[in-house]
Amino acid sequence: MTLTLEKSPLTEAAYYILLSLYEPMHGYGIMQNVKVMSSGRVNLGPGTLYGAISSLLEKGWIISAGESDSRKKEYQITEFGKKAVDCEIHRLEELLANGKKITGAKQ
Amino acid sequence: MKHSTWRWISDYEKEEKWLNEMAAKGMSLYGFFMGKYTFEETEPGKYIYQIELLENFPTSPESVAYLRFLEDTGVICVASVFRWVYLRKEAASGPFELYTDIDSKIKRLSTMKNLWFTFVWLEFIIAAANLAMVIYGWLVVGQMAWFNLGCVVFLVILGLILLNFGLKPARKIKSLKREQLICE
Repeated sequence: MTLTLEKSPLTEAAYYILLSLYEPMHGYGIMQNVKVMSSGRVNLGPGTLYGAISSLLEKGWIISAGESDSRKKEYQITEFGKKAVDCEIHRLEELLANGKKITGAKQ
Repeated sequence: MKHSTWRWISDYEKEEKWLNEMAAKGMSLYGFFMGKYTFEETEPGKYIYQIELLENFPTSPESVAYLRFLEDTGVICVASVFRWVYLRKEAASGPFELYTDIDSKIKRLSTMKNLWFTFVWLEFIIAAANLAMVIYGWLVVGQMAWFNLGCVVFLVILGLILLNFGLKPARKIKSLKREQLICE
């Protein structure tokens, strides 16, 4: 397991998966949660979700957290993953502030 | 009631389309073996099908873990052949899209491209070996190796067909990569 924190932006999928995993959750739960959080805009396909979970596990941003009552594998965010989310929020704030500053001035 | 039919389909997209048309009519695939499709009668449109190429054989631990994960999300593997699997999901639980971002779509297409291109290279090497035998027979032994010549012709034609299969995902990857420059 390699713990790395890259500067590159997170994908929308990775960002929402990490947010979902502040509480332990299984794959299907993540799909549902992301859909609700984004008001139906982001639908994660199971193939995409599986690939993203595998990468996040490899990076050490999330860990396996045992199995749920229905014997489904659950995952949870790590401290390192939380740091990645903080970095991303910081980046998003910058994007948002600049976007508002420029478009807002013209409106 | 169960029905089965034989069919030779080389293009997985056409196959997928056909399976979904059958499912819409209430004939849902639940088995495949050596070109023989087995269907069960269900209510029309109950299932949506997708065909997926796994990175490993379906019995490998990696694939077992992946298929188990899919099962947890309501996607069931009904049959497999080589590294290809036939997946289905109940239509009532929403659309069936395995891959929803460009990255993972490209990864899936690369797996396909690599599979076909591996075969193309293999064909090319065997064809070249046969061609060498034809030339050797003709120039050194003074005899035409008709069998080997036949092999060369056959392999070249097959190779071109496989190359075409590989070029399809390659073209899609190219256009997705262009798209990726400006969006996720």
